[in-house]
Amino acid sequence: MNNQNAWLQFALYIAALLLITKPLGLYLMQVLDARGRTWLDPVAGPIERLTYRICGINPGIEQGWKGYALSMLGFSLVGMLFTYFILRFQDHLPLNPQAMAGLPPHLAFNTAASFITNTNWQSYGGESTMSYFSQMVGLAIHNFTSAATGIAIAAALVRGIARHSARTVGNFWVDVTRITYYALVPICVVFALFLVSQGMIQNFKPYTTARTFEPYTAQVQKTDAAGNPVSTADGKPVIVDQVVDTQTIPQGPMASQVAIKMLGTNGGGFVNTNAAHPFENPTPLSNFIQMLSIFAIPSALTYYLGRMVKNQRHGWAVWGAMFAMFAAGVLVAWHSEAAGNPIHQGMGVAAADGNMEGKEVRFGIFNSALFATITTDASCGAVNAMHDSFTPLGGLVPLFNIETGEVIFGGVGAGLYGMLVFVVLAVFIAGLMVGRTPEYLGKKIEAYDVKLVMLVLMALATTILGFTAWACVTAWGQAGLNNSGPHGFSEILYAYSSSVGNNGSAFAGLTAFPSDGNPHWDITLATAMLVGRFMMIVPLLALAGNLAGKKLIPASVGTFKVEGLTFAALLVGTVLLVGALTFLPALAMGPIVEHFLMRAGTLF
Amino acid sequence: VPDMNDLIYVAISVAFFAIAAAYVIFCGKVR
Repeated sequence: MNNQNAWLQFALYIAALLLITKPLGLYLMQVLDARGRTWLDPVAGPIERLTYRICGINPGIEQGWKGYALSMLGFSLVGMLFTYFILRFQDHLPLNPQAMAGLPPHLAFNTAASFITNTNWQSYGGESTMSYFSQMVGLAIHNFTSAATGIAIAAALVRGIARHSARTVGNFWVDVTRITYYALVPICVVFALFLVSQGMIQNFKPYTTARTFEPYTAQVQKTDAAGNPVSTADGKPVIVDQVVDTQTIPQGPMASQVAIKMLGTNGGGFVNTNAAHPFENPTPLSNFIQMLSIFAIPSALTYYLGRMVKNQRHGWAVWGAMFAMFAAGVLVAWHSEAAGNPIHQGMGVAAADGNMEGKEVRFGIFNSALFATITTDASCGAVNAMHDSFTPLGGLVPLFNIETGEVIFGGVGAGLYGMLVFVVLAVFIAGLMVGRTPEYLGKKIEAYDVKLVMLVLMALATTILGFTAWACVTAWGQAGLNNSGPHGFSEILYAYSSSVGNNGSAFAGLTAFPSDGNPHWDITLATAMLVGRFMMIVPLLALAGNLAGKKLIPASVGTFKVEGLTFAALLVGTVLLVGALTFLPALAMGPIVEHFLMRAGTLF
Repeated sequence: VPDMNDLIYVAISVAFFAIAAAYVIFCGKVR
């Protein structure tokens, strides 16, 4: 960690994040107000009004929490079926120069669930599976709509907190429309142009076949004239030498997809190696801006919270709690990766500056650790290094980040609404400790509110741990593993944590789409994603509706302050305590025991 | 051409969202 350049980059990142938080937060205030004014009104206003006219939406009418929730569910179901059929029948659709086949049903189901839930878990490799039409119309469109949905839900919850004696929490259709037209699309247009300026591709060309500088010989299974693999009489494959002197270089509309992939904390890569690919992350500057874009909206939403509840110090206290956990995560991951693997070091094969296995040389230790922490603090899931190759404690950081509920800045909208669940819980615990009725910003927190909070948290815990336990004791679960022992267990735990948390990154040693076509992984992961998204949002909207209807209680000397260091520390403590109580036993069987075994000389 | 598998996965999707809609009602009544 004795790397001044890395410390400087970290300081720059924090400064840049702080700089954009207030202006973007103020802009989102206008976007999330149906009568808000922005400088984009002359361009986006007519399109917005036309959309309302076509869809029959009355922007002047708000919805109660049930109407808001049902609109969100209906919108998501239609989006899921839309994408499912595009993926299944992409071979009959345009923009398919590589003649990609339609996806198998379970993979189309998994992918559709993945993209409507803002997870972007990928059981496929983008460049070997998806047509350009699927990438743009089937997938990237959900990068916008799922991000807009997340921000809309956060806005509804904040309105619920800010309003009193109210029956409504906003209009889902208006929120999604305005977020898309006024925030996501315009920012992404500029962002995509910037990425192109850095060398990212944006075209509809067929893939390029290039001749390699250094041909090599590979051993492959012999095929007959019809292309079928040839085996001996006893079933063993017939192996022949094959000289490899060409390389297929993917092309496609990458910049337009990558911009929203990062800004919308979606994370699904255009190509399989995601942001480690030189096309998908061409320069150190593109790497820095991509990392910044992940936290941009989540950070700005804390400012939006402060403005809406007329207590800016509360917004900054929430920001501070998020930042403290973020900084701690970066330092632990960076230290672990910089310390490297003592077994490799003993053999003399390790890089001098730490664990470089699975890392892109252009980015090195620090930028890989920073990216991994950011992408799992947020529910992004894009990667510029392979988390599976991190040291055990380096890999523990992204895993635990996800298991906190991704509230450390978090996904766009999802981070704030997740953190507000912990705020309510922290206020409740504080009230119990001092023997007073818990109050949050002038509203009593009652049994019903806490029940809803627990429904949110239980959906996270039971789904992750339940599916992990199931996969561990079944043949199909273990068939997907490429590693044994605690590392294999971590791969399973990470897969379900990532799915339920709607993160989408993977401990890449896991094969969710095995060659035998067994659909168990795809179906259970898709179910985990759907539960992790919608079974958390529904009670959360109920909480928003209930808070909106409460009367305000005037502040008194006994009112619990939700600003300052004490509150931020209580909030951090609540997040860590709930995360640790829920997941520490599982983490002990995975990365923690793996760390000690690594120190004792054993690898998995 | 869509086959039986497509019907199954569409049915699973619709069933999930029907359960989620029922969960809306449950969360309203869990007081």
